[in-house]
Amino acid sequence: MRLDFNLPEDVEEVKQKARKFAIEEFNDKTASRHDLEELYPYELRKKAFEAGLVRIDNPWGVLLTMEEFCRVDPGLGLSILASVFGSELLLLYGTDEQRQKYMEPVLNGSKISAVAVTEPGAGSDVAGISSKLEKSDDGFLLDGQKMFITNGTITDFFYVLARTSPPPSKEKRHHGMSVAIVDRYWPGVSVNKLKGKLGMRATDTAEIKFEGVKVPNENIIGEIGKGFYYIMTFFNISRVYVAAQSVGIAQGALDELLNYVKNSGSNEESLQFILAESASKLEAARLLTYKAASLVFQFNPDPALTSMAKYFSAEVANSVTESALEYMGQKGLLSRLERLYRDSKITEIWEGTSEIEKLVIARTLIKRAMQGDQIA
Amino acid sequence: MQLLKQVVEEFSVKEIDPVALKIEREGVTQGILNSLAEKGFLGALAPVEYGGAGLDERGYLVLLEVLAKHSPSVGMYVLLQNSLFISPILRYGTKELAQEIVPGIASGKSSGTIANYLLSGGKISIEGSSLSGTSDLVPNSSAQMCLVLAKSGNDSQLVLVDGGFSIVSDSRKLGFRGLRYSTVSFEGAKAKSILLSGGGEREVQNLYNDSSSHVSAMALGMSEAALDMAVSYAKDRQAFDAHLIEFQPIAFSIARLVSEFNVYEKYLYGISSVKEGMMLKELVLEFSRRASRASLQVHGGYGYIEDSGVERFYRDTMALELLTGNRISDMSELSKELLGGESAKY
Ligand SMILES: Cc1cc2nc3c(=O)[nH]c(=O)nc-3n(C[C@H](O)[C@H](O)[C@H](O)COP(=O)(O)OP(=O)(O)OC[C@H]3O[C@@H](n4cnc5c(N)ncnc54)[C@H](O)[C@@H]3O)c2cc1C
Repeated sequence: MRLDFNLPEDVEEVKQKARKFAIEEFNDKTASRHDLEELYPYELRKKAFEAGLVRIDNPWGVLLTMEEFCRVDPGLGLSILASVFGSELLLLYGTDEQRQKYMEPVLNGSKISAVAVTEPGAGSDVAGISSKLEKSDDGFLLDGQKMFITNGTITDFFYVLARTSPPPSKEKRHHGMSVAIVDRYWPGVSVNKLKGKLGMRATDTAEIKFEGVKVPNENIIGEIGKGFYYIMTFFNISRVYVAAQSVGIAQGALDELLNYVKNSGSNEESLQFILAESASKLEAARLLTYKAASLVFQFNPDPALTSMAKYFSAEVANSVTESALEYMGQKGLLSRLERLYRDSKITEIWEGTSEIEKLVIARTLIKRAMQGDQIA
Repeated sequence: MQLLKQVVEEFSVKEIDPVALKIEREGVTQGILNSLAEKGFLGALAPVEYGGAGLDERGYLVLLEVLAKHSPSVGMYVLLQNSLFISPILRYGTKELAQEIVPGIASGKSSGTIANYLLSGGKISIEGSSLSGTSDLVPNSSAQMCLVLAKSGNDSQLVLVDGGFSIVSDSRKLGFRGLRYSTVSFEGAKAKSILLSGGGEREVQNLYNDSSSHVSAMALGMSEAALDMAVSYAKDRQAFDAHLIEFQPIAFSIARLVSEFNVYEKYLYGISSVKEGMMLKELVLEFSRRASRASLQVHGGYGYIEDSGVERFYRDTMALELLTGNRISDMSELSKELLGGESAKY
């Protein structure tokens, strides 16, 4: 048997196209301005759609576009690619009508979506949310508050996780939640942009309030009460994209460092070691990410592997940007490394903190061990 | 020392805390500068006859640690005035020069900064008393006076410039956002006084080596603040029906960091040589980044937002290293100090 590490030609083509797009469009001036002023890049998003770079029907293409975009500028790259955030929920569990009405306009770039899970009082502990979808005569009434929602003020609708029934017991806290599609402009929905993020400042982040929002029955996704599992399945997909963000950020930092070494003609061994260590870590993170992605894209995800990719790559992104900046000194501070250093931190927080990924890894492995399985 | 700590702590709680986030957004205000001057902090290291507070080295470390804990930007401002401006003037300048310059700095009527191409890689040169060239990342760039390390032929001089330099553009700010950082042009500026007519590079490196303990005090102050915030947040925030502090990975990580902090802080106040300062700096710069990163992480999504007041330590601890030194040359200096002159060449 042969393990083939080459990308298929069509994916390689998308990768090159994404790289070219990023280099041409995400120049330092544009990236700095969107970072400094916390501006969402509407125009760039449009251009990327026109260039055919946002196509979730080609998941490898999106993964590599994520990597190439984040390699040049994570804030801009993510703003563009996250405009389809959550679409997999409908792809997997939606009805034809829901897909047609909500997902298709997002995939063709005319609309934007958002996923609203986190609340002021519950992030990692998803089952601890308190938003409620209460049964009414002709559907549901949604009440609750969501926090740190990406695309919150620019989205057309939210995929909202809320309780449709109280937890049956302490052990079964994750029962009784459902996912609803909620239009941004329905009465009772209000959004408030959160300013002053450490990094990823081109992305839009908001807190959302739902006050007595009427949600029709047909806007509930899948079965009532299964929301937690849908969201976890979704995270198992989205986490490989976060891993790809991290790989891209680490590659971007390495690019800067290599460039610096090349231009300064410096041949100090300490610098060479940092370069070697960073490149090795990056390569390991990339292989892990591609392996996890490969399983996800074959509809055979391994949650342990996905979480390993997400956690490990985030750590690599953080350590590579940190040492590149440290060793380049003030030259690094004046380069886009300064931005990469701030952007990288989010990869350890969103879509499951590194601590939560470690718990997923350990618990999956322990469960398998208890079932007498062997890990591949 | 305990008394001084209490005084600076009370001052910080009263004068700095209420405006700490505002300082980050709008800069160190004249109001803060006035109250720093009133307490003698701006001229902390200057003798009393020059309008300074005449603090000894340990007192100065206390001052920096406490200020940095409450506002890294304010701490940095005081460090800049004392360690990197007043100190070299007292050391290399004439008595007359010190008499002329230092009282103004101590009283907050004027302020100083330093342009050091060893850190920024800029090109400043001097011929006679005329300067030319620009320097990146000059801190507190709206200052009236600037110490400039300038190339003259194969040698280098340290000179004092009073006005005549101008800001070309402001730099992006990873940290210490309360201070202005800019690319500054010295084209046409005149040296008011030549402090060192040769060997400037070596002496400026010594100046930074000497301030290693000062930088360490800043790093420890920031670490303490970040860790205090982590502890109180972890005791307050709940997830999975427990307080965060109840989870072993969180408790173990904070407990270890708090232990490190205590060990390093004890060492700081026992420092009796430049070498010891350099050793501590090597450890605590990395430690302070680790501590602030851990604190940000404990705060989850909130930690990523400026309003939480945590993420600035993540930025400032990295900026502290980059703005007060250079990794490779600092490590080379330390190696030579500990292992001999032939070490760390390649
Ligand atoms: C810029 C940004 C964009 C975001 N976008 C979205 C979005 O689009 N949609 C959305 O729903 N959410 C979004 N989030 C929220 C993000 O997913 C949460 O911040 C994250 O899941 C952590 O939750 P929390 O902030 O409540 O932290 P908490 O859950 O309170 O955790 C705080 C700390 O405790 C740790 N911790 C918690 N439990 C344990 C345990 N059992 N053992 C060990 N450690 C533990 C965590 O790892 C973390 O370090 C976003 C956040 C940010 C900052």
